[in-house]
Amino acid sequence: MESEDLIVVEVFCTICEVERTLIDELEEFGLVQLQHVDGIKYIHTEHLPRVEKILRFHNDLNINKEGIEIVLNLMDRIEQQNTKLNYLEMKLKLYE
Amino acid sequence: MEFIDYYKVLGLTKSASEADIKKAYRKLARKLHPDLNPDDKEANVKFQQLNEANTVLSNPENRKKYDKYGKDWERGEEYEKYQQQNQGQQRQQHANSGQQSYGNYEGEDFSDFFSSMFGQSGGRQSQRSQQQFRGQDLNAQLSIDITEVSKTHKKEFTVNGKNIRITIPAGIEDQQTIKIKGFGNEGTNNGPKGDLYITFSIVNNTPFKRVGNDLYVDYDLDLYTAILGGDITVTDFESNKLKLKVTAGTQSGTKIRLKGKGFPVYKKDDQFGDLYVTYVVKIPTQLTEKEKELFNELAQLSKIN
Repeated sequence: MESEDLIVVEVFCTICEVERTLIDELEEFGLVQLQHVDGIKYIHTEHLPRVEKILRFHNDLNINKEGIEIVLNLMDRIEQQNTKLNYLEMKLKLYE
Repeated sequence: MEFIDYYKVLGLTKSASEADIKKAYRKLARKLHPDLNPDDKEANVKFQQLNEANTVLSNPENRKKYDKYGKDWERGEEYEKYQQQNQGQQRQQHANSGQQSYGNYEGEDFSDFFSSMFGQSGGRQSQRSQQQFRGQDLNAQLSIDITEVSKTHKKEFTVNGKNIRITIPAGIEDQQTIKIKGFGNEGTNNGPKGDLYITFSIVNNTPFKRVGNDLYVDYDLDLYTAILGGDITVTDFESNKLKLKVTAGTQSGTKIRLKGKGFPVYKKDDQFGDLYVTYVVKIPTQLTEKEKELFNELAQLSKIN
């Protein structure tokens, strides 16, 4: 994995004005995936949009960790349902 | 420019308390937040208005200004400017100090109405601290023909004044979104650029219908081949001629599968879906006397049997 794809958690927290403890809590809870390299914690840039989304849920909407997990799971389920719905719509078009 | 009734946006009246505003904002934000409504443009517009409403009404000074001018805010603004010009520096200083209090507002997130009233540089406390880090993501729609999608190809187009040349992999789906890293807006505080999300709208004017990687096509089969069997030639999506054997007694609606003759699988070289050919038996409508005679003969025979 290339080093430029990783962001040091401290740097992310400073720039985004996020408490470091919050990121640790989110990691412990399993909501955020961090990479540990030589004792330093990193966020992979691929995970950034998800981390940012989680922080928006937490900061903008005051949703706690348990709530965020439920919201994310439900959103994943909606996405799966939408994919299925799109497929069925395409199938239905065969009979139009 | 349209006047926005911020009280209405929050579902409140002018007499609402600060607590009412806070409560209404939070309740609606939970409903309209863009992360919860990713594909709902209407919800996103409403959320923008909601943020504006909260920015204006939760700040006593902003709220006072908004309440003072209301629908006539534009004329009121002009009148105030006139007063400022004529009534000396004291009032001018007051107006300036008012603007400074708006802090870190990012004008592009707000409506024209808001920007005109509170200025591009005035504003709110940042609602989304990550915007100080990554640039905003951009979304674009690209319409392409299905015949283009059957092969990996390059396409050049312009987004936000920037020329972008991308490779579109064969087999991309209708409404599929791909991410072009770093082609969004500039980041702030030296943060990385946002990404560009392109959603493809695939136009299909061919006789082939696509379901995932499979293609479906109807083939008009003449009555005699359906009854007696025979050889036919079917044209696939790439205009290749495929020779098929039709078995005697084929019913209309019979579907045959031609493995690997469908659409290319997205990002999987040399993998293709299947082509389904549905036979539609065509019954002759204009018969000659001789044909009628022979069909009658056949009808009699079938009665005997």
